[in-house]
Amino acid sequence: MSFSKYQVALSGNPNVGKSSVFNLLTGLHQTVGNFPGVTVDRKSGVFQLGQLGKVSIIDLPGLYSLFPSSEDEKVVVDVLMRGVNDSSIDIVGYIVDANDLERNLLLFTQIRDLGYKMVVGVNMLDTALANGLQIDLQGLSLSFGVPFVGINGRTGEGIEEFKNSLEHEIFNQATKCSYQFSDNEEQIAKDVNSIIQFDSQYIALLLAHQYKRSPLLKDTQKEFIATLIKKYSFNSIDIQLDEMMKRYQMITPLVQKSSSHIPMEMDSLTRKIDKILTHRIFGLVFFIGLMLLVFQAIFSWAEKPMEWIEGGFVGLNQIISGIVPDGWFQRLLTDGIVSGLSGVLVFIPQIAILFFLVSILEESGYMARVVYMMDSFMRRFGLNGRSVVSLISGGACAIPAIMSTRTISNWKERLTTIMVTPLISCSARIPIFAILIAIAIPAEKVGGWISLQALVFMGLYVLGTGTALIVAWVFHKILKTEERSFLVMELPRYQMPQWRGVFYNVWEKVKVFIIEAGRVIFFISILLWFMASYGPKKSMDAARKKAQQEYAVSQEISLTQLTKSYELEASYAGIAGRMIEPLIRPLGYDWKIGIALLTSFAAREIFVGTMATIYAVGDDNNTTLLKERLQEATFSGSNKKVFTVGTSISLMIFYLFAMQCMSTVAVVRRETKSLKWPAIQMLYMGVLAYVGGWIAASIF
Amino acid sequence: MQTLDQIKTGYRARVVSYKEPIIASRLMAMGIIPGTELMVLRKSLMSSTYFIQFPKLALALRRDEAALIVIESEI
Repeated sequence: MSFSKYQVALSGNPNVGKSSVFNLLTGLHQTVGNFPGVTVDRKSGVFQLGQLGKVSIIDLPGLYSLFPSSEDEKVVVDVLMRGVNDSSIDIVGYIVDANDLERNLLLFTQIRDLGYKMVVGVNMLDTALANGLQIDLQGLSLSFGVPFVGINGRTGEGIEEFKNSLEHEIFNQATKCSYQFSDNEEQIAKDVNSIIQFDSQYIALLLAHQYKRSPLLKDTQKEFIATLIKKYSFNSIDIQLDEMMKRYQMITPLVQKSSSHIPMEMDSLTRKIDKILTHRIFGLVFFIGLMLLVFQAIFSWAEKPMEWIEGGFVGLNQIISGIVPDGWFQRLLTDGIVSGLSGVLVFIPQIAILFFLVSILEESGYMARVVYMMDSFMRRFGLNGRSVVSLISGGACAIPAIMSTRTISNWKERLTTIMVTPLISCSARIPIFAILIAIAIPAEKVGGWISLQALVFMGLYVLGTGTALIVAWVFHKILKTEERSFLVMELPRYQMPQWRGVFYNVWEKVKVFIIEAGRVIFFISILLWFMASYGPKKSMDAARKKAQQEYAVSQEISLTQLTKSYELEASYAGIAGRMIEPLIRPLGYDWKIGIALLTSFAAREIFVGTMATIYAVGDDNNTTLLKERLQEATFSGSNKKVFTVGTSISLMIFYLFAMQCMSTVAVVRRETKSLKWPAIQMLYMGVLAYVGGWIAASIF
Repeated sequence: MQTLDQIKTGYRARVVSYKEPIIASRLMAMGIIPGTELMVLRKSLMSSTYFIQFPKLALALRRDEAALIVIESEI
């Protein structure tokens, strides 16, 4: 968006409706990226600003003051300080909640004193009026020296006036700094300004407060400020508190002059709802019920669309087979590329549904209540109240679950959540568990009525979840953080979610998934296709001959199936499977399972398909036949059965713990902005899988 | 010196001061300055998290943080 000349920044406290104003201004012309070096959402876009044409706009995450207390807030403060210094931000549109002007205007006066031109959008005037609160916008404009414009983020009312004011103000002079510096503040700001030339004295003062971590300063400048701090015995935190008090003393009379004063309590509807939804016991019951519903919805609502997508790709494969002549190119297209694409796109319905529901919970204000209720339980494991949502979503698919951790602002808690979420048993594991349980676990009833198979199935979920919590606790003990864990969180009024915002959020998440997970799994599936389809010429020829010989003796299995089966054994994947056999032998696996472990490396759901090919079942969906063949399978050169109870349970444990999902790895890499964390994650999950599988094989 | 963690659910109080500047900075930025009235609306299971109603906003606070807020009970 570098083509537009002007840059507008939207700022304000959290929960004032800033994002809905942003959505109104930009519509679909918005993108979500990251601020450099951190994973704080950077929402930006373009919109038409009268005569000025297209201008860029950036939606800064909500903030309470320019004295940051979390990593996210530090990023925003840096952006604002840099923006005025290098003129990368021309004007700040500041959104306030009409119901709580005094608190909202604290940050406003700070940003104004940085030297910004500003326009204030007064949102939620309608609810204020309903509460009997009258606000004199003109009076406020006069008192604070910048235009105050009434807007409605829900209906779009007043947005045009807001834009007109921005267009007008962009050519005006910024108002002078109104903050009365104390002698101490004045001295230090003057000396800071003597080494770094800033237009605004207030930036110099803020740098004296935040010099230690400010990216705007060079090391020598930091040392210089450190000496100034000593020289003037500058007690930063006390001076910050004094500054805020002085600002409130200035703001309060001005606000009271321009608004009818009424003692306000949170609106009674919200309090009534909270009485039930945040009840110490019933609130938890409701939440768990709601999460089960979300979980159920991800599964059942996504089922049909997923079938359509898969069906569509099967159709596409048939069309390609009809057009492209037989040969390696056709197989590359059908077995490699189309199958790879299908494997990625099939998850879109689940991702869209999850984010649809999560956005509603987030926008309605309920998510903050979840944090309130779950915080202490989750904190014992080093997680956050919001981690619950990610962990439950992980039961459908780890990818959207990991993407949903962005709402956790504490980095350590967020990272821990990301690291353990793939341990929650996702939907791709179900077919693997289903076939292995059918092989190993007798269809008996325990105590006459509980199916043993269902019990084992449930046990796997419990084992995955329990392990996730234990691993989280371990990370909690290992990871060090400077950031102190605080929970001082606003519980906003309940409100109807805005469908526009929900839609943009879902759209954005689906887009990220296709781009990030898509390209990784795409290339890996082509590579794996190559490995499974090609091998040394000699052994591939021998494989085909062997298939023909066997077919000549018995026509029980079709020639194509036999050929495919022997080809896979002779392929590079087959060779690799044999190579790793000594490694996996202690777990009770033979080289054929080794091939499946390798081919399902990028996506665990490939396992069943590979087994079907190796055992020449032909149709992937014919699980009864596959089950029989697997039960008969023996280790090569002996009569020993491969799929004993021990091996089957060991394999289930292996797939429960092992990463075996490159899309997840790609998303973790994106969300942690490093290769280190996905590497550690793959490693620890691999170790868990191997050790767990080995223990299971030894016990059973 | 009474702190916020010592009062019961349903009781009102007034903020007097803060025991730690960091919590002071955070709360003051949210408009909660000495003199602000409050009421403990409810506590979570095990009383580890507090749901506090201030005149213009509601906050969730941990017990550790509540212990840093000096208050005087309303008579």
